[in-house]
Amino acid sequence: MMDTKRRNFLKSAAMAAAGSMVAGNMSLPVVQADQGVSDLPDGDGLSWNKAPCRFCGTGCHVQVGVEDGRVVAIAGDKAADVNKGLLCVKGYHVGGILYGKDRLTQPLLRKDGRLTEIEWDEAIEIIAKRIFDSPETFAFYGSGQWTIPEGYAAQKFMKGGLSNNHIDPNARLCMASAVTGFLATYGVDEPAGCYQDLDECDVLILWGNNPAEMHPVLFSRVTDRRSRGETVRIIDIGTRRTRTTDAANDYLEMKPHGDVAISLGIMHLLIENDNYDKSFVEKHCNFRGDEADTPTLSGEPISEDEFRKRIAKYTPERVEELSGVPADEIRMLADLFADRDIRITSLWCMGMNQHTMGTAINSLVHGVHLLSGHFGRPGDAPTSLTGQPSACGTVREVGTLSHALPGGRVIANPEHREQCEGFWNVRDGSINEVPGYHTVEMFERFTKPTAEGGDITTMLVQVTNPGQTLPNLNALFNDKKGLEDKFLIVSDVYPTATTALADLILPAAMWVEKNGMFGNSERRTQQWFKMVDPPGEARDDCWMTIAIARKLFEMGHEGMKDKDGDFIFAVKDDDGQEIPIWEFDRYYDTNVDKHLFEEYRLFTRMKHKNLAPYEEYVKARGLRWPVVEQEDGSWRETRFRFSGFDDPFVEEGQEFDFYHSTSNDGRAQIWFHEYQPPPEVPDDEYPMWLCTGRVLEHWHTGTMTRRLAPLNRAMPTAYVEMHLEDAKAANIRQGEVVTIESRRGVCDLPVWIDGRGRPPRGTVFVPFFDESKLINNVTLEAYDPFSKQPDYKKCAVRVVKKSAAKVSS
Amino acid sequence: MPISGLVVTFQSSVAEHADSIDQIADLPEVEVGESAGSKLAIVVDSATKRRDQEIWNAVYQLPGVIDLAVAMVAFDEDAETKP
Repeated sequence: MMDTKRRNFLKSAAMAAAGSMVAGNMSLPVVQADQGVSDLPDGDGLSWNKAPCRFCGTGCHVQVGVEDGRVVAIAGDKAADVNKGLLCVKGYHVGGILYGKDRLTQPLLRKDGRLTEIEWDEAIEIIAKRIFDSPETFAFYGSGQWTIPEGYAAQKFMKGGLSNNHIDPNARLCMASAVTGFLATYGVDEPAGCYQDLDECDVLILWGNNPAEMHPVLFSRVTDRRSRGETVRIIDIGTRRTRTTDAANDYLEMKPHGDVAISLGIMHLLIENDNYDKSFVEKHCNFRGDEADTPTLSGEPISEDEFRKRIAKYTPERVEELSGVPADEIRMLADLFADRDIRITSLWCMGMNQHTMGTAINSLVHGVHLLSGHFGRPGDAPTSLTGQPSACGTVREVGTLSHALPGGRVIANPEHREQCEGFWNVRDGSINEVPGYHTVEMFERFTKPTAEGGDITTMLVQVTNPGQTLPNLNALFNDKKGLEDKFLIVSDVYPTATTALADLILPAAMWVEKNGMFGNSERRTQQWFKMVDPPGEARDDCWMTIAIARKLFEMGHEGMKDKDGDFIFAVKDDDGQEIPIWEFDRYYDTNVDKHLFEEYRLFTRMKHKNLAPYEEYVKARGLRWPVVEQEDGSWRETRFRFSGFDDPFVEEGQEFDFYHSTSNDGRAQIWFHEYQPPPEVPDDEYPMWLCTGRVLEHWHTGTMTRRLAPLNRAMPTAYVEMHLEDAKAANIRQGEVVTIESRRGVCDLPVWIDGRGRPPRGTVFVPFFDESKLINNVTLEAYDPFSKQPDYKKCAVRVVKKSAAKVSS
Repeated sequence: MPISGLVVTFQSSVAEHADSIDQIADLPEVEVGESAGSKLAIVVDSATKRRDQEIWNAVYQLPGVIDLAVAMVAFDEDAETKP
């Protein structure tokens, strides 16, 4: 309990924080770390420091109030350009996630079916021995919740040390199609624009996106503009009504995969009406299409005439048939894109990425913007968002994907491998030339008996929960026979659906219990310092990787030595003496994050993703790459890539330059892809569409937010959203528990009719946050051929009253 | 026993929402602060997290309120274990 004096002190701090946001200038530049906290009074042992929020990819900054070694207060960070002091309901509770009563605090080894506490030395030895005995059958699975240094260490350990490319993140499940869309279009990943586009657009088009719930602080930038009297037209293109729809001027309800047809329809009309931006296209774009035989991410060049020919059939009427969106609405969209006097921003996230045509629809939406010239001016941008705090920083930039290397380099390119081996100072040929297994394949191999070709036998999972998030869990994760030789190691902060099947559980430190760096959705790299100790024996994930590597080094694994015979993660003090960072009580003798980051930074210059020195990030609330040193020694970030007015790599006098063009001519690619139907569609047996997703109160699998009482009370259980008429037809009542069945599995859920989200007839929606109701037992593992990202947004199911269900989950 | 500093955003100027502001001010746990444009600062000092959430929901549902954002929160209770 707080005493009255302290309570009054905190109340005055809370009023100061809220009052300053009401009265203050909401457009703040990046400033020094010690500014912006001046109105949050220190006192009574309370101190404040900055950190990015732990949850989504928006990258809001918070001020963390620490007292007596414990986080006691969270404030929005006014000095942060991303959120300008605002926080959403999850950010408000981010401090509480450290203090769930069931934190994992000791390594646990499963012996005879029971979990037994062991010491760290034993745990590290067990892991190292399994890897030493069979390094090629080891896989490392992480996520966009890895900090940048954690991901970089894992990447170097696997690809440089073990010559093993079987490392992949759960970001494969959420934004891999955005990556391939950017690569196919611009030859380089990540959005060209930034959040300023939301402040300056006249029209915001949301493609299967629900930012009101998933990225609420970003969405509030737009709704705030309206409250200030500005006009912003919001167009929501979706398969169900959401809270975002409530704020939209137009709601265009589409059939699953309708987005592909809609984008083709817009481009058809721009061409047909001859009102595309000829000057922009002539100067800055090429046309591209799939190869006839075996389509690749590179495709093949096609002429403008060929593009016109192929797209001619996507008339508004044909698009209406395919998408369900009325032809007049397609014309309305095309007319907006034809208007060069307005600025249009497109936003998307999982709806376009979790899609078996994910790469195609990403490329097509980029193409709509390029063809119409709505690109590169503030407010004119095609922009994808991410769901995890460092999906961009750790996965896309560090390259913790099975085919990638740091800094936009790829395994398949011998020159890239050679550069990477040079930076790491490892022996020539250390990096295996064959890309590793992507997520779905990795888990297929791990959950298949070794004798049947299941050639992954040991897997280390850090900072993610595949036991809940993989599609078709019955095939890819759930307990099976014949896997006795397999060994699952899971590092996490709480017990999860994944730790439930683990052979060895490692207790992890989280968020401000360790140093860290994240990279958010607008290319902003952010840094924070450790502020409190983790509980019990919980330790940093980065330390775990280094400790395993060191044990392998001591066991004589040649890959853990660089060309000079030194440990690949060696850190030396000013006297040239090695600091034993593999011993946890010495890990913070130096800033390991800083050492790893400065090494990683060398890679970032290879593809114009330049990062500043570590200390620059200590001072700032993040900087958007490329960050380039100025003549006066300061470091300048970039808001708008490829645009001559802002991007330092565009030649003086050029309006635009796509300097990583796949056609090597400074041009972006406008793609044509044929519409294809979804991989599974409703039929007589399974007559309804299932779409899965997230809710405002819970972050992804709920392992953190479900431990926060207010959030859990607000949203205590998963449910199935159903249309009233569908419910009536099946004699299903509000709140009744039904069984959702697919060809792959079942899940029992209470029905919510006309609830927060309102699906159309023939569609149901289920959130995936609830580990007691695993909807991924039902979903489909079909994936995009290029990004390998599964489609969680559409498969065929039936809804069965419990009394009539054939199988009970 | 959370204490939170919140920013209430109305769909138009604060002055046009006197009834809603009166209802906020009537909540014993709420202290109303300064306002500007469509935004109003409030502090909520509640006895339990449940009450904090109730107040949050009540304010959010008042006529004219379009957004409720957090500026700061202080807490001294443990999070709960898995529900």
